[in-house]
Amino acid sequence: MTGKRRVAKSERQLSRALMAFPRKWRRHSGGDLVATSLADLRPGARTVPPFVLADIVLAGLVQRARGVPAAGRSLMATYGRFLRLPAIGVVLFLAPRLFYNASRANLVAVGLGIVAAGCTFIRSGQLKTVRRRAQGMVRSRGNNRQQARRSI
Amino acid sequence: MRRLRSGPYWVLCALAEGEAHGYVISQRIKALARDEVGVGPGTLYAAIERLASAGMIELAREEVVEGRNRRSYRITEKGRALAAMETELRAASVLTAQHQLGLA
Repeated sequence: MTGKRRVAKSERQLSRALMAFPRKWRRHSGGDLVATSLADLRPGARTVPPFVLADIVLAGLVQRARGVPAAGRSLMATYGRFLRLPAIGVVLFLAPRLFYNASRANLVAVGLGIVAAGCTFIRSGQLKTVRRRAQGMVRSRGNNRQQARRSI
Repeated sequence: MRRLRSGPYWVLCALAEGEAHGYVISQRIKALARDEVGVGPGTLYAAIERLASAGMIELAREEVVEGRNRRSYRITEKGRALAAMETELRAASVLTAQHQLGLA
């Protein structure tokens, strides 16, 4: 009875720590992780050691930050979205200074840079994504209006 | 070139012995690293997933034990080559350090 309660308590602790992982990951590998952690417990241990729980929570949070699936993604794909806003901020901050004090050669260089950035943007398929999102928003707005009319 | 981190490196070394599931991998790592390297379950499964999606290891078997899925993995040729390369790099670092300290 005590043993059963002991296992239940450690299992509960592990289940709670597992909540740090994304749901999809938990469904795929959660059971396996819990089984391994339980098998790895020292005989007679009542609870799961805190460093094991911390390790699981930390790995789960990293997994959440990376998204699912985490593996096989480049650093840019993983952290790029976090860098976009600061990058736009830096550009907006520097742009007026560049234009006020710029010589003609600098302005040409900036222009070429803008064209190159635009080409990269179009080639990366982001433009299509933006268009699709915009179309989706227009459609969803239309649907909402239709639903509102029906409800009236 | 990207270096392997400690967790994935030891997972590859453990799987070089043969296919294994999570618990066996962690036991092998303890034995291989003489308890000097502790790979917690979270780190272990994160490393397994990263290695599997990079094609370094592959799923060998999946079975249900006590109501839970248990997956066994095996190392691929790509993973073996990467582990060998990483071992050489680590050995070279050790040699340099030994030379620096006048031990070699």
